Amino acid sequence: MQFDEAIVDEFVAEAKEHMSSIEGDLLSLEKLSGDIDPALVNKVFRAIHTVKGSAGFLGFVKLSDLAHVMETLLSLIRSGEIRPNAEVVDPLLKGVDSINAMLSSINESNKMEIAGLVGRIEKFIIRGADAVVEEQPAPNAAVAPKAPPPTPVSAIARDNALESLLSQARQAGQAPKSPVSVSTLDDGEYQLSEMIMKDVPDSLRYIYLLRYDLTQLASSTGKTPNTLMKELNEAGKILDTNIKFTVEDLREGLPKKPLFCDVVYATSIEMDLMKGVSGLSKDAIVELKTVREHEKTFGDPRDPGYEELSPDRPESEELFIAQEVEQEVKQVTENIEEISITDQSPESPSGVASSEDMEEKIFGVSKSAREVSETIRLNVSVIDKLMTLAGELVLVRNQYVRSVNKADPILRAISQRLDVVTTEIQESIMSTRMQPIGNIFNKFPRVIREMNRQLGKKIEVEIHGADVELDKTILEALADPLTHLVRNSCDHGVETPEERIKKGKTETGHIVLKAYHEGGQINIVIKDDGRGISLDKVRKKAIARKVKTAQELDQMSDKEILHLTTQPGFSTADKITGLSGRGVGLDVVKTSVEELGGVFDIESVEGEGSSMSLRLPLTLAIIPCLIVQLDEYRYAIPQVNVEELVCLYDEDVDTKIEIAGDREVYRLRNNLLSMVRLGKLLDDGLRKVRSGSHGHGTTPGTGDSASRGKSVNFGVLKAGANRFGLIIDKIIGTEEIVVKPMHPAVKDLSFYAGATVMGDGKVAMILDVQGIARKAGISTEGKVVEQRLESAAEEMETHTALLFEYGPEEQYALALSLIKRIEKIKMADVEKLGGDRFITIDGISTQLITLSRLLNVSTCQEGEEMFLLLPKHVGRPVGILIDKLLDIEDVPSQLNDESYMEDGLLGTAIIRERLTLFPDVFRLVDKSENKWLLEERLRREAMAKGSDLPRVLVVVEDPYMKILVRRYLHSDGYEVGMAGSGEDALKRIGEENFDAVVCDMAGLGKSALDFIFALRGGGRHSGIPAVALVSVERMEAEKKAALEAGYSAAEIKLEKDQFLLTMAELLNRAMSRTSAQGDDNE
Amino acid sequence: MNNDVMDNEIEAETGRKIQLCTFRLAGRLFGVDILTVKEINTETNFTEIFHAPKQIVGYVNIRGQVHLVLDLRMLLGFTWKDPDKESRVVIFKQNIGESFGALVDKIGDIIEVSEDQIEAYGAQDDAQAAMEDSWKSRNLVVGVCKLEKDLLVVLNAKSFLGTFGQKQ
Repeated sequence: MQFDEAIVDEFVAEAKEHMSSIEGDLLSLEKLSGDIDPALVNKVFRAIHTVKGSAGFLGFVKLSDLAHVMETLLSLIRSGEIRPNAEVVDPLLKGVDSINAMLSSINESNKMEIAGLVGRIEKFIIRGADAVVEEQPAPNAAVAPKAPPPTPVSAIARDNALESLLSQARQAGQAPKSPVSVSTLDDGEYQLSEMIMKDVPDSLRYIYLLRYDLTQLASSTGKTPNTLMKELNEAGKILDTNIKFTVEDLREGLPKKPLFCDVVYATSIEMDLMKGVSGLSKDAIVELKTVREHEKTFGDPRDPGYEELSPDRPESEELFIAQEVEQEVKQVTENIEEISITDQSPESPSGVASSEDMEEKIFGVSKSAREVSETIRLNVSVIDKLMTLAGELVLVRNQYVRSVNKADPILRAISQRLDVVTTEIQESIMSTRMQPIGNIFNKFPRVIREMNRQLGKKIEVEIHGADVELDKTILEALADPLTHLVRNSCDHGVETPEERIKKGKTETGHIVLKAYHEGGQINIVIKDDGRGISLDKVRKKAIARKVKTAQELDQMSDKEILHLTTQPGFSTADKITGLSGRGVGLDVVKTSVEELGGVFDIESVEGEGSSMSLRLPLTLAIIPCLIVQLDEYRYAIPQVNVEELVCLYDEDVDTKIEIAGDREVYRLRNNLLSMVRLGKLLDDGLRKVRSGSHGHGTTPGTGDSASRGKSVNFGVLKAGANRFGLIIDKIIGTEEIVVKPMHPAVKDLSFYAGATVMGDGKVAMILDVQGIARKAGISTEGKVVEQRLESAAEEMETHTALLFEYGPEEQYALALSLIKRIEKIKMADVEKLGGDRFITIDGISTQLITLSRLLNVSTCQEGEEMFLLLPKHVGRPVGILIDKLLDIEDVPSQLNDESYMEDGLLGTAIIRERLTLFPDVFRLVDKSENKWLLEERLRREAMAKGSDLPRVLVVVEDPYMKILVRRYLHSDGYEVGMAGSGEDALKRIGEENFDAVVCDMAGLGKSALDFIFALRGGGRHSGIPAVALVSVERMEAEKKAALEAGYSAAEIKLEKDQFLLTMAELLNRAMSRTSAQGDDNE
Repeated sequence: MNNDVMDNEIEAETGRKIQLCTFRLAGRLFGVDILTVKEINTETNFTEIFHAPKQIVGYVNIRGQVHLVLDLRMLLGFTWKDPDKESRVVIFKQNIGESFGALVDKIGDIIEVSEDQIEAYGAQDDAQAAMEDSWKSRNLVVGVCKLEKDLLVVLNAKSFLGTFGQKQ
């Protein structure tokens, strides 16, 4: 059979549509069982009927046969003779399946074996047929044809089909109609129901019978029947059509023989003009008259072969009698009408009306029971082309908007208008590809029904948001994953009714399918109230399969453990059923979802149920993106993945980005964010920067250039549940770009989601955030990093220290607790005194401690202004000179004193990857004392400690001598007591402990002698060493006198060294005399 | 155009005639069946694709379409050379591969040879023997053709995309 492929395709497409709607309706019928909704039954019936008819016409015999029995059964249901319970609906559903299968490979359909199914259905028919009663045609119901005697359907299928149709035609319309025999119809009478007649406006006064030769029409004018109908409907109303040819003719093929088609046509055009309008010759146009008219003008010569009216016909009826026609094949008529209905519906309302009227005539169904949808069926390639063009338009628009001279107001207005219109076109075209998710969801009731049967469970499904629309390609890609998830829920999730009752749940399990928009994405949730996922089982399986160790599992959160089930080969099902459990499901679901740019999530509460959710982007083709630059190339990051942008300036650049383990992190509002450098990421070691901007072939943007500068940009990106920061050179802006998928040769590269052409014509890569996250090792276990950081901090005790620099090489740190404050000083204010430097701070002269003088460190190039660190707890006013303040940092308390140590350091530590010196402030302060200060200090310290130092009583009257001698003695570490005269001295010696006496004989004269007499006279201290100080002039005499008087020694009073030597000698002797140990006075 | 290539045009002999689009790579003369070539473009503004195999130069925009550009020098085993003003991208037809082209040093003439002039390939140059052997093993070469002044290596365009293990 040489049917035009287009016609067959059209048929298949249509039939498929019919079939898809039938399935849902059958299930509803089943549910209603008792209360049949006649409208629903009719809908199903009509659908099957149409398919049957077309199939028969095109020679798909088996299809037609199957449809026929189904139709018969349905009619019994419609008439109430058979109740549509599960038993009955089942074979009907199977029939739908078979028909679908046949439609898929239509050309093989005649080879399909349907006898078994047909037999099943027939059984019901036969049973039902016994109770068949003559049907009263009701106005709204098409009457079922009386069942012919139960002969094997296949044998008489076609005849039955014909029979049923004819009988329907007979009975269509109003009640008071008597059946017209087949023979009458052979003669080609046209019975048009009153209803149809009533609809003919009075303006269309003439009714013609037009005979067209379709073959000739097609060959001479190229018109198809559809076009013809259309044309006719423009000028009037087609009331009926009829094709005259035998069944045998059909088999031999359409176009070869003349194909006559009679059209009953109502119009206001007069006969003479009809020729022109219809393009027919006079012979082919016959004016029809009403019966009454006919009766009036009996024997009209223009009606050559018409028959007498059957006397049975009631006169109230208006019948039209036409010329004879051969055996009508009503099926064919309907087919043409069916084709014309779908083609005409959006085009001419009158066409719709008349076609609908045709339908009504045949089926007698009122319009209310039917759905009218204004749709056009288009080839998907047309839409794809439109999409591509829309994309190109967006690109051109971008280029134009970029280059138009904004200053010119006219151009600007035009470009704005262009912008708006382009966006609207783009959005509209995008929406053409959008289909409601209900298309997938609606399959599930059936799936669940089957599973209920197979598993012996009771599960109900609830669907929300079936209207939510998705791009067609996404929808198609989702069908399998969603089916799998639903099967999973049925199979493993929901328990058997008995189990449920035992657990206190309702007997019937529930699965909720929900779809909704949120945040620019579509969310699909499949939720069941079954037994949930057992975390323990997952853990056991994970260990058994060596996916994770027990320790790792301990560290994982519940959610992470749940996600383990998405690993390939993972299934906690104990049994593998035919439906699921093979463990190839969830990982495939996850991958499919991710391939679409979405995220798959699992939630589950053991014993209560599980919830699987998918989040998907709305559209694929044109997306708003953030454009960034790295080196000379630009990259696009889908905005849906961009959470926020952060810019760090100046010091923050180096300080805020911390290191945890092996990666960089940033603390964003108390959340740790793993940082990734785009440059490092893209560095593949293969490509050099060929543009020459880096000169020496360095790998692109390793980020050094970025951080040396004054600012660093990074974007906080998210991919599903993962968040991380991506460091980039420069942010250009946002733009809507057309996504061009990756070339097959490179589509495995996980970094890229596609490419796009920028406004300047250069290609930019679109980054795949999910892929980057994966490659960079960012996982939802950001918590682990956080923990690591915290525990690392805990391990070492830290204290807060100030980091600073003095010389160019070293980094120093000083505990904050040791710092009183830091002053900024002008080096111009510094005074030099005796090799040391001083500056006045708060009125106090403060000595500057120069680190390079006290430690083995580099000298500092001192600027005009420096800092002075004033330490706490030091005995005297000093300040440590500092060049640069770096930061305040937590540093370990435990310092390293092995790697490098020096007098003046407490130790070292590695801070911010640098060896940091910790100065010992006290030691440095000490080291920077000059000698005098040191002595003073020591003396005072000694005094504070106790009298470890020898005490000498100095008896001097002369004030200048007093100071001098005292100085002498102090410098040698003696404690000095003063007495102004001999008498004082004597007194003091008695009261206090002195180790020696020094007397100024030169000044005192005779009283010095008296003193010594008295001293030597007796008493405890008579043996105390005493030294007389004599004048230079009378040295000999006085010395002699002193010694004779009892002095241990006599020295010239200004001879310091000799004097001290003598003192030491004397005291040693004394020491060794008085105590066995003898202090060392030096 | 190049005189030497002109000189190499050979008189039609027996056998089916095919036209070859010739070009130079690293000084040597190569060619592909002209029926595989869609166009020859001067565009050299490439966008590198990091982490792609080194035989891929990157993407280029030709009249709004993104094309993948292969580095034919790298593919054959020569070293990289920066594109200059003589470089061209030879874009192949859809049936050879989707939206892709090859970067060549210099385009040559279209020459017509007869099929039986194309001989089976054998290593011509000892120095480059290893490289040339790999051509054979990767099915890159259809044969050689002795021209008057040059040796023309006829390449199999269909094999280009397959050479780094990606599906076409």
